Amino acid sequence: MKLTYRMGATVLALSAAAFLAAGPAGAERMNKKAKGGAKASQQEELAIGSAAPMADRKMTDVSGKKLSLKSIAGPTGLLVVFSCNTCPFVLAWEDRYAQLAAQSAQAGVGMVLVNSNEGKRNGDDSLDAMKAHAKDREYAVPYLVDARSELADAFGASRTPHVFLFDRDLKLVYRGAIDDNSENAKKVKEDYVADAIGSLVAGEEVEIKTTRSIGCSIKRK
Amino acid sequence: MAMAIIALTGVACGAAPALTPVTSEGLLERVREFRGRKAVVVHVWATWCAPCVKEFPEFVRMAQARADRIAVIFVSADFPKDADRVREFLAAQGVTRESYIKSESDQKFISALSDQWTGALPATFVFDTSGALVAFAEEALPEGGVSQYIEEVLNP
Repeated sequence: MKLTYRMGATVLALSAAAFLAAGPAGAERMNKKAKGGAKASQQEELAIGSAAPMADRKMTDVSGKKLSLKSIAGPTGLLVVFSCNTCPFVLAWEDRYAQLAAQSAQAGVGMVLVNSNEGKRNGDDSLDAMKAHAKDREYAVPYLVDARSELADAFGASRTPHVFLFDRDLKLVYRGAIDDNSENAKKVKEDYVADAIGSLVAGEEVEIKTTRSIGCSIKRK
Repeated sequence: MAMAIIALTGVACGAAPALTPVTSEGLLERVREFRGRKAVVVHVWATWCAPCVKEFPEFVRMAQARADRIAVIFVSADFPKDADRVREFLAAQGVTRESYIKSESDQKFISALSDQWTGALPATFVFDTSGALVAFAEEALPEGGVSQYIEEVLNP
């Protein structure tokens, strides 16, 4: 028997059979089944090739404007970064946000930061705190409030930072980490998002389509 | 009696724990060493992770209460430069048994542990006595329910 379920935002994946004969990496994806009153739906990460969910939904930006993903997208694509104000991994990667924003702008990719931490909306991730953070870090791109974490749910975003890059048709071409070294920009060997944007501009297929990285869980309510 | 409990569980207050860098390969080897003897809970956490800090004492208590059947392996995902802070936290939590700090790339470490783990913390992996991964939880377990969850997944 195999079993996966989510309690709140917690994914519980159970399997009973031979899973670790040679390590768990080779395990098949597990089936999903509700248990103990837990929610049956698991928010899986958006699949490559999927359309950008909720692209018309208007969200509040730190500027006070209401913006949708569609309105932010550029002629080449759209870069959505689930972020927040305090996660150490965001703070570590944040020194690369400006560079990413500049590169995106040059490539015709609209970039947006999204804060889905509804669980901290009355504290560290309030709109006022977001405004202060955006000003302090000199964000050059919109920083949106994701009310009720609905966008994060639709994307299957689990952590901050968690990046989703869409092409001109708003189809997902890359999801995962910004690069392969949160701690030190100078030691980056794989510049995942930059390379993916380069592929979009060149009209080529993105080579590395998914990556994973340690991050702070999105604080849903 | 107190000494016996400490020896059995590796939990006591104030003592400085060993903190060893670990790769996914080394970690899974540690898990395999318990085959046939104990179930293993691998708990990946970080000092900066508020949900991790909140639920950590529950894992310590569970490690203490179930030490005869379950080995709990703590793996910090803090940056290596923060190792001292990790040691201080572990000592304050009463963990004296050897603990670990991740020492390889996120992508490699995450992929080796589970193809379902996206990298969010905390993350908990439960291996049964055969060494099979029988449960994986991304994000904190329900408050007060760590022991129940572990027992549930080990005895479905």
